[in-house]
Amino acid sequence: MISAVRCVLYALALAACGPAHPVAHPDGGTPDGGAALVSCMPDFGKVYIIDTYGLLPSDQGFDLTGDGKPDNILGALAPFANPTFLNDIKVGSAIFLLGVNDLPDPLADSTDARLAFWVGIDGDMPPDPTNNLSGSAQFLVPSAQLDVDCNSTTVFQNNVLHAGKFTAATAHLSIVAQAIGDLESTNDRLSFEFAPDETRLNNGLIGGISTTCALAKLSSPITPQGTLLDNIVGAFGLQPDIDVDGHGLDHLSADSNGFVTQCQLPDGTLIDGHGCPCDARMTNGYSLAFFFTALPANIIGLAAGSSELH
Amino acid sequence: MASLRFGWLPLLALSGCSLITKFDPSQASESSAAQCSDGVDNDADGLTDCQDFKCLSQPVCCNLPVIVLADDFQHRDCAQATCDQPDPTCTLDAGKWQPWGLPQPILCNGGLSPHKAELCYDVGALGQAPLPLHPGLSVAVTVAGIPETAGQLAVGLTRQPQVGSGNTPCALVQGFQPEIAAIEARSTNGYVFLASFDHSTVAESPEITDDGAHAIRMQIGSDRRVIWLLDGVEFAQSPADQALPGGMNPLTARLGLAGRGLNARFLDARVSDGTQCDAPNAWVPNDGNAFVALSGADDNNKSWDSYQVFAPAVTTVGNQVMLYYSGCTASSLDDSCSQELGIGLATSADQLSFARAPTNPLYPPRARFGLEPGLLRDPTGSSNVTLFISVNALASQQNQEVYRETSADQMQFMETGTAVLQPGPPGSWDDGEVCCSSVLPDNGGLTMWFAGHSKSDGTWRIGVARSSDGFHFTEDPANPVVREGANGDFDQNGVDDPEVLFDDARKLYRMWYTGNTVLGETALGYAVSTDGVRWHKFPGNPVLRPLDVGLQVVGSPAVLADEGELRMWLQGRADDPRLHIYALSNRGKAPQ
Repeated sequence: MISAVRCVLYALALAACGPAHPVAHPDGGTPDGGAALVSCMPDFGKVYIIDTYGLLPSDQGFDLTGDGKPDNILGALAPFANPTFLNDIKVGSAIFLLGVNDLPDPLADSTDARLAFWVGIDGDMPPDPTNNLSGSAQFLVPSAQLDVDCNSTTVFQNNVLHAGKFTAATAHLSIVAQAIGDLESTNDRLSFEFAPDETRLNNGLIGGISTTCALAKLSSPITPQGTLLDNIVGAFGLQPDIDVDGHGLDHLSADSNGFVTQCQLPDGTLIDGHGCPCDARMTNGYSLAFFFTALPANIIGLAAGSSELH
Repeated sequence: MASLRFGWLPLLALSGCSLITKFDPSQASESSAAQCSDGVDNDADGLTDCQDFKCLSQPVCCNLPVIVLADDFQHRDCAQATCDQPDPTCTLDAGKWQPWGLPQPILCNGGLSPHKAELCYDVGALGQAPLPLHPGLSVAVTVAGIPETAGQLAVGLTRQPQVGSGNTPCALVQGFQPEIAAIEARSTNGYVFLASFDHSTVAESPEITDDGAHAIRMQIGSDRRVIWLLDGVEFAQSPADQALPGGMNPLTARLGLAGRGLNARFLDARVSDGTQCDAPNAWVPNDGNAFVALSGADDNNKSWDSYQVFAPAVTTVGNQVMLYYSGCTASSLDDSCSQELGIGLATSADQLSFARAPTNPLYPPRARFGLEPGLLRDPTGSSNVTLFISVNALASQQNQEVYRETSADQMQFMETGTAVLQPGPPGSWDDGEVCCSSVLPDNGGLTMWFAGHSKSDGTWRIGVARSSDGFHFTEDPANPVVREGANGDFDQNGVDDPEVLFDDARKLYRMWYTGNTVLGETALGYAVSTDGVRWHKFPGNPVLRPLDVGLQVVGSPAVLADEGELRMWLQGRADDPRLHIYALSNRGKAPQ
């Protein structure tokens, strides 16, 4: 059971797996030297690697619903998850990078700074996780995390830097998690504080809502034919806590094998089947919130992400 | 032997020998592969190389592509919606394509767009038809739009039976992996195509710096190497030591149209496999119900075209075939067409099923002997439609003459009071009536072919007239340029209803016409001309007899030429006394 929990939490942590590939973007040179091709290389800005992170306790997090209380139902998993998360960082299987562009120098209040999130790959050949948290470690970013304009697909808006504290939000966050799929979350918020010398990010907090369907699209790390949602419902007995559409909360039921088999809408309507979490009428989600700290790092280039097979 | 004979000719001519005057050019031939490709009118009949009927079966002249897959995304009406608000009902033809990926590519902004913002794997559509990777296979795709920095379109031939499709826009899947491809890549000032063979780039195209339409083509040559062409100019060839496997059972692949990004889109795609020969008499009726393209409304004379429809004229606007036709109600006296004639429009997106325009009749019924639409065939694809209507007003006892009517919306025509072509002066070959025109743009003006007859002789013949302003036509002094045939010929009693197209590849005017023989029998004839004046009737005429397609009468052909295929709509009558409009096609014949 412990291993199952570890796997679930591992998946929740959006661990980046898979081998590192050298930079091999299609916009490379050409055999006979024709027109100069444009390289797809984002400006990563000032980069930090998350060196500690974990689920906050359920009574801590962002107030997503406006009721004056923190929303973080998946925080119930924190006691099981957080040691795993720390170990994942230690062994280099969870490399989460934040890139801040247009940061005032020296640090000052600003609304122009831009924040992007990346799941990185160790830049060492062969990978050497022991220096990941050295403050000058080098990483690659899978090109699958870019859009066609060569910007991160995980970009925050409403960025505000005030008195050294950075806050941001985004209506939709898509984080590439190669092991289980892409985690889609909504109403995401983030905050952290710059150390005066900008050598650390402290008191970091990130949270949002992941819909039942989004969680149902993620592969389960413990049940081969199951989903992450199956584990959340079947193994942990957690129900959605965020009423996204204002019509009341849905309820999910799992069978004895831990598979979601039935969904119930607030009006009592039953939707049968393993696919019920993705029924268009199912709009509720689970709240979650992480704490984190970070220290400087370097992104040295792009890697052909394993999801970019072309 | 032939070269020996021609080797004598200059000598004979230079010698002034009287033998030259006895040389009969008709005894020379133009039928061998060499003669059909030497740029010389060897038999001095006015037709050179592939223009000459005798060369039609020569492989060198068999250049009509055999189309195995064609889709015109650009001209789908529903594809004109913006990509931000696409028409949800506007989907790819499932009989041709199998889309993959999330989000799925959509038809919008006048094309097929990946409409995918993420850089991760390309979305697209895989052609359903397996394509043999052998000489003669050609893939032609038109694209438009400069891709984003990491956006791209890719057209490729893949041996994948299907392309993986995850449940999120960047799911871990096996993506599109074509063995032969042309892939866009952004460059400093625009973009280029990278020719890819066996997953390696072999060459880069010239840079494209505008967002207009450009044609990318990949074709397999006789040496089983692939060549890539951009806008008709070759820029890449697969390695000489990597020729595709030969043999009777070539590898097969499928066409994939893939990409990512929001800016670039596919306008059309066309795959041909080999070529065929022009065969003027290889007309085949459309299958099943599609043979009858349009019939009378048959609603007890409630509609203006209740009884019968006839005299088709066709053109295209976008991907729509615009079929203009004459119609009438039933006579109150007997089972025949009344003299209340009108002109209507029926349209079709698939060239098979036609729907009447809601505003029919476009040209209101009047008491007339004749009322037939002719069309200006504008190769620019303009949405303006110009009809040349042959009118004979019963009340005024006027002879039939031709009026010009133009419409910007293809449906509302204004009647103008002045005829653009009237019967000729007294005593001329066409002083009786003129009608049934076919018009082409020509050197900044218009050229019209029409039928006419004299007052003294009811035999219809075909003439040509030209206009510099499109309104005042002057007949050619050589008129009539097509006459009735000799006794016993299928057109011995007259020729009319000319339909003329210009074949730009062969620089050849092509005419289909109605031949009248004895006892009211008809058949369709075919003729060609290099100047529109001197016409050569096809030796194998008629190209279509009524009984060939189960009819009693055929006439008034209207023809559309598409790449590798001709489509004809004609008026015909079977056992029913009423005329209907029938549809046929001609895809030529295989080289011998």
